[in-house]
Amino acid sequence: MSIISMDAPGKEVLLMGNEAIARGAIEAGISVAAAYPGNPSSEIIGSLAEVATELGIYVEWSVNEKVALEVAAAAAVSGLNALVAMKQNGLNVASDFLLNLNLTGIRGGLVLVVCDDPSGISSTNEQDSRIYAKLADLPLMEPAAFQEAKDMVRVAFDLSRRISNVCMIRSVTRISHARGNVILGLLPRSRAVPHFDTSNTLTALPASVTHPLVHQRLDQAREFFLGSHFNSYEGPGHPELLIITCGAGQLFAQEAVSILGLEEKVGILKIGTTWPLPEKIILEHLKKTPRVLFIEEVDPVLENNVKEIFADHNMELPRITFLGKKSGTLPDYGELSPGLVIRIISELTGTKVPKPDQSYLDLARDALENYCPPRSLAFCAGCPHRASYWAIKKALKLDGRDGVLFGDIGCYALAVLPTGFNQAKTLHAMGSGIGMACGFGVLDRLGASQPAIAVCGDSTFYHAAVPALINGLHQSSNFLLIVLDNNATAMTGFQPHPGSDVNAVGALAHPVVIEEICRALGLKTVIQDPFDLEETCSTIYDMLQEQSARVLILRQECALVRGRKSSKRNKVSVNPDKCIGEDCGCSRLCTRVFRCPGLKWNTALSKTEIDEAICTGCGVCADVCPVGAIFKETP
Amino acid sequence: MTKDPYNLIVTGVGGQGNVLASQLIGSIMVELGYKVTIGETYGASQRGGSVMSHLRISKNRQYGPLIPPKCADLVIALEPSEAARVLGQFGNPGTIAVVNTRPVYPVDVISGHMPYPPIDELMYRIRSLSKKCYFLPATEKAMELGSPILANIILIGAAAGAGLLPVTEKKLEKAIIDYMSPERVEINKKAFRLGTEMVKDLTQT
Amino acid sequence: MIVHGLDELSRRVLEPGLCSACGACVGGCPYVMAFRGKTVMLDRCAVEHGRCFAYCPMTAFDAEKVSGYVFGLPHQSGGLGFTGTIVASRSKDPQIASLGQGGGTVTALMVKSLEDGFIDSAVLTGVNPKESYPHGVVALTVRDILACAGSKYVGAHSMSALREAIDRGFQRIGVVGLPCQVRSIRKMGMYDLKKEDLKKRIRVVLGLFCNWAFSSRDFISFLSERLNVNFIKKIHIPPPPANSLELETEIGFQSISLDDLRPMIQASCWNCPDMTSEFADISVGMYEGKPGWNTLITRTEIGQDLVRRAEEEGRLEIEIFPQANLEHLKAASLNKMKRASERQN
Repeated sequence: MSIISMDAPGKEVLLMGNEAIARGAIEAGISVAAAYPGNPSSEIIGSLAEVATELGIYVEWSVNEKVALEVAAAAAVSGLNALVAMKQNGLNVASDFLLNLNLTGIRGGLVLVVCDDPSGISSTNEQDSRIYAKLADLPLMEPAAFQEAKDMVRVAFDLSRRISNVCMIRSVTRISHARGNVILGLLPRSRAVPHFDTSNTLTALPASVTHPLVHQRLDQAREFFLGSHFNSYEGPGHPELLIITCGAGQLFAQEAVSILGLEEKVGILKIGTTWPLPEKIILEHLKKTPRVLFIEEVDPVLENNVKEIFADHNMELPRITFLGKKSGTLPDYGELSPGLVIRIISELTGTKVPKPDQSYLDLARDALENYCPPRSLAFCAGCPHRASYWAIKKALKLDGRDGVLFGDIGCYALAVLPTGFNQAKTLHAMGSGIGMACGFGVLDRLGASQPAIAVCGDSTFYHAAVPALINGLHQSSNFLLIVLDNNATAMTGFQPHPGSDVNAVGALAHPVVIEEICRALGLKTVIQDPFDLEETCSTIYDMLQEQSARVLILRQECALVRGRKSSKRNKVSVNPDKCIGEDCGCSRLCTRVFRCPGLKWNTALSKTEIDEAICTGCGVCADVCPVGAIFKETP
Repeated sequence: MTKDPYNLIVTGVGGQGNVLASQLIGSIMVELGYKVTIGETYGASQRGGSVMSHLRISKNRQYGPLIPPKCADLVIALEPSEAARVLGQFGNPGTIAVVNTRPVYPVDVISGHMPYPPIDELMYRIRSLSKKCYFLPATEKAMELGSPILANIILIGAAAGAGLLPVTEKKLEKAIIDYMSPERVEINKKAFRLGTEMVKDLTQT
Repeated sequence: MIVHGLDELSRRVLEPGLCSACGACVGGCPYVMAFRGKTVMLDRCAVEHGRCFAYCPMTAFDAEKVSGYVFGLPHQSGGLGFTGTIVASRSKDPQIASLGQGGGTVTALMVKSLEDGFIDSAVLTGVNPKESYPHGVVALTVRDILACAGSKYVGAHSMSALREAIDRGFQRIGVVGLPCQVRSIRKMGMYDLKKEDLKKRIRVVLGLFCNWAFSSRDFISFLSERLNVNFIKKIHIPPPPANSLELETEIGFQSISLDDLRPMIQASCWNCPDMTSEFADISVGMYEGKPGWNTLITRTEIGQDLVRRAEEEGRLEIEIFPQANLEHLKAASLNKMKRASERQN
């Protein structure tokens, strides 16, 4: 039984922002939800999947975000309410379809939730997705807290049906992954039956018809947002500083003003309907202040849009100093934090920030500098990727031609770090590794002498690798694709993918087999267990000497997945009499280079030891040890 | 809990049950009629990274998901160097700390790239940054009960036993049923009880 | 010499392509590997003073110090190094003589030493039919030794087999090596960084004459295009003015112009001043103009003793080495020294 499907209207619960969004969709009566996993959006569809059967709705993990949007759109053009969720990169993937769908419109309700990751904490890039709303002429709302996240989704569906178009919601990590109080509403009693009206066609052309139409629909949304309670003001009538904020910025701004005791001097205008902007309330407050500070996540989107309004109405407005990312008052990259917001407001108002005395601050700095060593990201103990990259590293060295490994997204992306022996030399978007490898693999015709390798995971393979693979085959490109198949979409939380035999709701699914796809394309496809280091290295070396597109699948279960099901594979131990540690002949190969967290270096004894609490018993370290000091015994 | 908002940080290393611990505390506080906001960083934290959960507990308002610098009231640390990291950023002379003493070595320490601070010096530094400090061998006790992951519940018990959180065994039981499953109740109650006992045995510093 | 580690070895020798593939750094650790003729560094090592650097003949070589260590004398730079006796020799055993490159002297001395128990193992260079690459061999029987007879003309990482013999615990090791390999062996005995009692355990060192050696990967690759290298029975480079390399194979003879092969000579060889393995106990080479015979130089007591016993027991036939040939040999050796010193400048 899940909280988000609970039939208890009026009950106050603690929900994650993403769960609140899911609950809002349920209360709005969605029938279909689709997504591809991506932080910080995954829990939206994840939590809907858990209750799908119970509620009689269709939920799927799609192969990528474009397809997810298409799946949701099919429902929305058939009269249903559908939800699609994605992280910022997912919106890029879905954008081609979105920028056609906005022009055709829909015949039901479709809400697109995009969850940005400011600072790219679990992403490959940092991006502000709100401009897509302006680009696509679609209404956009940004929740500032948890109750609002739920309420906005319900309103979004209502609006979407009214204007027959997609409605967007933009969340960020600090809302999506944070939890707060939400009051549950009523569950819907019935749901529409899908039907596509075939008497009318949905096309994005001619532009002379559809483009003005989308503008009209946006104007309808503008009307709809006019009196919205998602836009609100708190503060004095004529503040000396007006903060205009949206999304996560509101709670930071509120607390900063409170801590600095500036409730009488600083006003906060919070905008929830951030496209199209509610001009009336904004103009009303611009008239009453000489200084405006914009607080928002990532890019100066709200900032620039408000300035457009100012420019349009400049004759009626006083001179205003606008402060924000454009003026350098706030950094134009990275996420907001309470400390940052407090500091800026204190500087702008000349108010002191309360803080402990200098002696405490010195101790605190000492703690940060000397008492908490950094924790870099590392593959888990027993991760097959560590073994795979170890074999790749050796094979590339033996090959000696300075081969290039093009990286991709998933846990195995950590190959850009020492945990993956810095093997990956590029990291971009899903499927870009193989895309670039197939591009590099034709440069030998122009004199390149370095072999090309791409890595991709099993989930990434289905998501984006196939077109590049087809391209590489067709263009006779020379590259080796190594599929790191741990049978999991691990980085985002183990959602099923097309290779799984169960789907999002736990029902049986038709697994699509990677090697069957590769062989059907006519590619040489070899399968190998990366835990067999020697064989894997030898196979990679041999395949590096070959030409044409070829595929090596390194297949071994994710350590975390295995850990939930079975006990340790082997009992692994170190013989201290044989361990030579730092001496010439070893130089701590296992702890210094291989770096599995299951191996501990005992500085006092100058020996390696196994950390029983962390070791999963994969036994790969036993094969890495140059003097045979590590033993693995099958129990 | 006289302060409003009451700012609590639960910190540890990925995989220690940090998120669950903060969820349990949060849901109990919501049941008690508080507005609770929990902010977290995870995603890549499974893979050896530091994890922090910020809990804002208030009768009046929904607060933001991150505690401002130097504003933590209570720090529950599943790992001692994480306690230092959190106190260094969010501690103030009035902060109280409940700390698990067992280190989890970062891969950078294991690979010999940097030393881990000597535990007695680390404890000294943690004490110097807090008003009161409770050090507990929670992992060792948890392993005696059957699994190292129970350390998080032991520490919640300790915080409750020291009067720092209005959490009782009964309220915890309900939260566990909601967030985990009925089978997990007994062992978690045991861990909680153990925590309350352990903290009473400690000489407060 | 200050002993550094692998980083410095890589910087000074591996990266500039000055490795002679002697094999001294290989086999003792997981960071350096011999792979199909190339010395490959797999990872960085944090050891600050490593055996790889200490034993490498190319990092730094103090001829004075090594001369003191081997002979108890200052370095003789007059052309052939310190010499005891210089004679012509050949094996009296017709089978050994026919297997050998010139007169089978090296093979005969190794066989005798093993049979006597003077050595318990011989580190030689053989060819693995599966790999076709010449490589170091720890020979434990007469048959093993006979299988290694004949010059290979390549850098074969043979000293990795010396590391193997040491690790396997052999106590009286005899080694046959090229001049660079002999230098590495002497550095091993001098530094013995891990106190493996190397001075005592390396019983006798037999050095070969060498003007240069091919990179084994390039050479094997070149040959493979012309024939199955497993059919090769013997390789012979006749003295000038022939300018050729002769292959004796299962299916007949082949001749290849040295002009085609010169690009495959190891870069390190052009820096090497040592033609006659000046720091060995015994040095053996071809006797130009007298096929079926060797030039044999003894340098140390151990070397002289071994040769004397071999002659007394009828294993070796010894003759005078004519003065004219000696002058010719010296001139050739000085030529190599000159070549090397010109290269250094």
